[in-house]
Amino acid sequence: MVQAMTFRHLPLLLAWLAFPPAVFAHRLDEYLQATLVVVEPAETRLHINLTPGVAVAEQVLGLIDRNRDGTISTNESAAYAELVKRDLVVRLDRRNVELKLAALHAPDPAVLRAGWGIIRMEFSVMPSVLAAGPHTLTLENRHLPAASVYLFNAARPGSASVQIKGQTRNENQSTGEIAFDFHPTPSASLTVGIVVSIAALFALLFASVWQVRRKQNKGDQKMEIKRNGSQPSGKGPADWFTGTVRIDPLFQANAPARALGASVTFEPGARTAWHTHPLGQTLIVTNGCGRAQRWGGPIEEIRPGDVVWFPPGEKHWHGAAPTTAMTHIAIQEQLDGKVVDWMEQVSGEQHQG
Amino acid sequence: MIKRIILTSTLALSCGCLALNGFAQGTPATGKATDQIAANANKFMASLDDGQRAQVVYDFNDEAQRKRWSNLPTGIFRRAGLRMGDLKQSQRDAAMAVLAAALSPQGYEKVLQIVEAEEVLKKAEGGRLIFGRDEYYISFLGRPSTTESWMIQFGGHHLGLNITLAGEHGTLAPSHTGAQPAIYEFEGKTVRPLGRETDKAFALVRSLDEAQRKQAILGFQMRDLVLGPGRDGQTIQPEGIKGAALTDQQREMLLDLASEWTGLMHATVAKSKMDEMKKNIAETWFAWSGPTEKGSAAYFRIQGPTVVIEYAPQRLGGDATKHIHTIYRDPTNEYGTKWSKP
Repeated sequence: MVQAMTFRHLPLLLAWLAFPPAVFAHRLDEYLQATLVVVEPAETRLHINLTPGVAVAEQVLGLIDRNRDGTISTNESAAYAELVKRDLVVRLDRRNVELKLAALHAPDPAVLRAGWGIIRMEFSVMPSVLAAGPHTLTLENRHLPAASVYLFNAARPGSASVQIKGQTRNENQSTGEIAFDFHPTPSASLTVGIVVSIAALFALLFASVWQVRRKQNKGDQKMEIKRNGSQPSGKGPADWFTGTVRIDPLFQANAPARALGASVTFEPGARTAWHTHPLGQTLIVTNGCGRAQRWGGPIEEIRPGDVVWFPPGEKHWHGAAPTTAMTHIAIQEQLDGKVVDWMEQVSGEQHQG
Repeated sequence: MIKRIILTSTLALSCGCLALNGFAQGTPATGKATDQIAANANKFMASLDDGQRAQVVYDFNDEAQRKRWSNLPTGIFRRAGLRMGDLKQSQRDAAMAVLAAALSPQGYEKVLQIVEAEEVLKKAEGGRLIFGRDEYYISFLGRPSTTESWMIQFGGHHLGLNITLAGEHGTLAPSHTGAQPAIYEFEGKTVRPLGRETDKAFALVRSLDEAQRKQAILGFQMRDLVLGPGRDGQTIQPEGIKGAALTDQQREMLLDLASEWTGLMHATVAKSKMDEMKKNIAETWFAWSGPTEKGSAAYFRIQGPTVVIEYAPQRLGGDATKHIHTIYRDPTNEYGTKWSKP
């Protein structure tokens, strides 16, 4: 359900990004996104305060109040939190980490419309328990960049076992990095230990309750249909593709499922760069005539109806034939938030074979 | 209208001086300043009718009222208490006399200048939004007292004063000042409500040598306050240059700059706060973002163990020097929690 909203929402989002509000000189026309990173021995949390100025409040509200009934339901605010979460890239010690929504408060729409409502979200960084030693945490906020102003700060640690060593940001603070040390004191380790044990107990309890709930009602997700034409096409970025490539998103499964699918159209001669997928990739050719090659293998011609499988970590490329376009459906699964590792481009020589 | 402003200012200023005269005769006895403030507050209460009196006093522990302050104009952010525009002139003067007793003369003058800027803004805006000196609200949390904790809240657009008093103690944290326009003509004089802090800040940053600047100047934009209105309870890791890395003269300049906020309160409170800041100066940080040429728009922050001050130009009509927001906090004693847990 959450995902469905996100996807249905994309055209509107894109339209907004392409045509930001006309008057741009005043804070009232901007979306203030302030992130405070609270590092504690037992948990690291992002406190995100989102304040849409009065002139953009209606647009932000449009992203939240999806059924336009003038109220923000729990589901709607949760769906918006999910939308924001997808725009946040968090790395702990250079590895992508998951976020878990820990707290959420959306004010009354009237308050938002007035321009002083603050949407408050808290996300826990998973896994929550830190190893002793130095760490770096990086946040990249990609939420509504055309309309937003960002602030990024580490909170002053409440525990003596956490020490902030440094903070850096890019020019507009949409990306920030915090270097910190975690040196658990004996009592802190004990506390962490206790917290972990209690957390484990709760997890067990929660899991069993969830099992029971699941039997009664298979989760909150329901059937959904993404209608033809509801998902905007994208262009294959020049960093990772040669030639003209169109990407039509098809689906991105809800967690715990992790498959993603897109229909990709390569104009004659166009192809991907060399790359690997952490959990492999399946291609289903739907149109035209194309080529695919694994590292060290021969170039294979692929045609409609062919199904190609690249195992996890196998270096490969795929694309159109030199004089014919090709469309395939590509399906891959994410591992730790990652679906692909890009490498060097496929040269003309390599493509010709 | 302008005449009336002057009249009120003069009246209230003279009240402020009267209150100050009390301190001039040696160190005030315990709670002396608070005695005067409470007396003025009771006089103001006595000038009100029953309905108004019921409207002006809130419970000391009323969280909602405590947090009902903002940088935004009243048309956008609804305040509570008594609206100045709804008071008779005599009541209004009595209300201002409460502030005059609680604040220093220069603090009170700053408040009047911020409020007067609103009159200029009102004319410039052509009445499209609600601005002006009528749009300020006063309320008390708890009853005026010379011994118990109570709070005076006075605010409107670009002003949020939260004055907590507890016997001899007092604090202004958290409070917000701002100005738009930050420079205006009034009676043939150029007025800059936040002019002194602006000038002192540029003087300080320009006194830094190359190596000090490298530490003090943040390499990214600061487009707003981090701990502005609505950010109660949040703390941030300090950044910039530490007081320990400043020369004696620069430390003096830093304290003098901070006094533009700490010195808003009456002399006794201002002095004890300044003493505390002096004690903590080595652990007090100064950070800057933006150009260092005088007259440009730049952000700065002063952060020590018991103080956070931020100054953030706001982009409006392309000239951020004309629209400024500031915040003053004490992470250890917001709303006087040190003396009584609200």
